[in-house]
Amino acid sequence: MATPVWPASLPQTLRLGLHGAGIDDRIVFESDSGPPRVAVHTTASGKIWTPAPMVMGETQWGLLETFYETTLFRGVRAFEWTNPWPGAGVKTFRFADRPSETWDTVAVPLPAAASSSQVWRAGGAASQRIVAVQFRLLDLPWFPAS
Amino acid sequence: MPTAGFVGQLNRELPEIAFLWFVTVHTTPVFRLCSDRVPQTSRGNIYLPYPNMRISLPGEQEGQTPRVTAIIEDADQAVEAELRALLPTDETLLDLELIASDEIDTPQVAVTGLTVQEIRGDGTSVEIEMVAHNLLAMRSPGYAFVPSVTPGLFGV
Repeated sequence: MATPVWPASLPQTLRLGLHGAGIDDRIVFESDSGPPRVAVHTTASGKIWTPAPMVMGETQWGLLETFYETTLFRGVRAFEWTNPWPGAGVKTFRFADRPSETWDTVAVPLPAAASSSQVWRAGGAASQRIVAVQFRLLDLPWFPAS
Repeated sequence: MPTAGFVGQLNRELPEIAFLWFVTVHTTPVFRLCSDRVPQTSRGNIYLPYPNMRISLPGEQEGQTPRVTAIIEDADQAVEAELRALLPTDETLLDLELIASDEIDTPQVAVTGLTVQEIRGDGTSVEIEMVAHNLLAMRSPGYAFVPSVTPGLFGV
C-alpha cells in the first residue's frame, strides 16, 4: 500500500509560527557527586512540529477529518507532504495527536452580483463558518511501511 | 565476551555510541525488535525499531533462575499478540542482546534461551517477564510414567 499524501485541497504550506522541538533521546545518569553521565540510546532522533493554527473552510475541515479517520486509520498511518515549508522537500509525518478544531464565524462581503435572496443581509455581507485547526506532527527518521 | 572497544566506550564519561538492545522472539516467522528509532540490520537480520523499550536486569537471587523484565512503551498490539502466542509453550523462546551501534554485528552481552513467564499489557505498553531456561527444574516423564496408561512408550 502506498504512503498516503497530504490532500491537495487542504492548505499546502504551514504558516509562520511553526515551532519544532527535538525529541531528547539521551539517558542522563545523575551521580551523587560529579557531573552527570550522558549517553544516547538511539542512533537517530526525531522532532515534533507544532504549526500555528491552520485556518480552513468547513469543507476542508471535513476533508481533513476523512483523511485522518479513514485514510490514516485515525492517525495510525504516516503520510507524505511535499514542501510543508519552503525547501523542505518531501517530508513524512504522523499526527502526534488528534487535530482539534475551533469554530468561528466571519463576515464575507457579498459579490456585487449577489442574488436577491442575499441582499437583505445587513451591511451586504454573508457569514461563513471557518475552522482554526491545531495539530502536532511527528517527524521521525523512520516510519513503518503503510 | 565484550570487545575492548565496547568496554572502552562503556567506561567513557560521554560515550559516542548508542547501546542498543536487540530482542529475538522465536516464533514462526522469527520476530526481531531493537531499541533504536530506525531498523537495524545485524548479522543479516532486520530488527524493527521500538525506541521506547526498556530492559531491566534485576539482581540475581540465590535459588532462583535469572529474570529479565522488558517494558516496551508505545507497542502496537501486534507485538503483544506475538508474545502472548508464546505463553503456553515451554521452549527456548527469546534472546536478548546488547549491541554497540558502531559494531552492529557483534553482540557484546547476550542472554539467550529466555522463557516468557508473564505478559502484562494495557493497550499502549507491554511488560514482559522472562526467566532463564532452568534445565534442572525441567519435568521428566520418569516420575509420571505408568506402563498401563502409556503402553506404547517403550513398545517394540
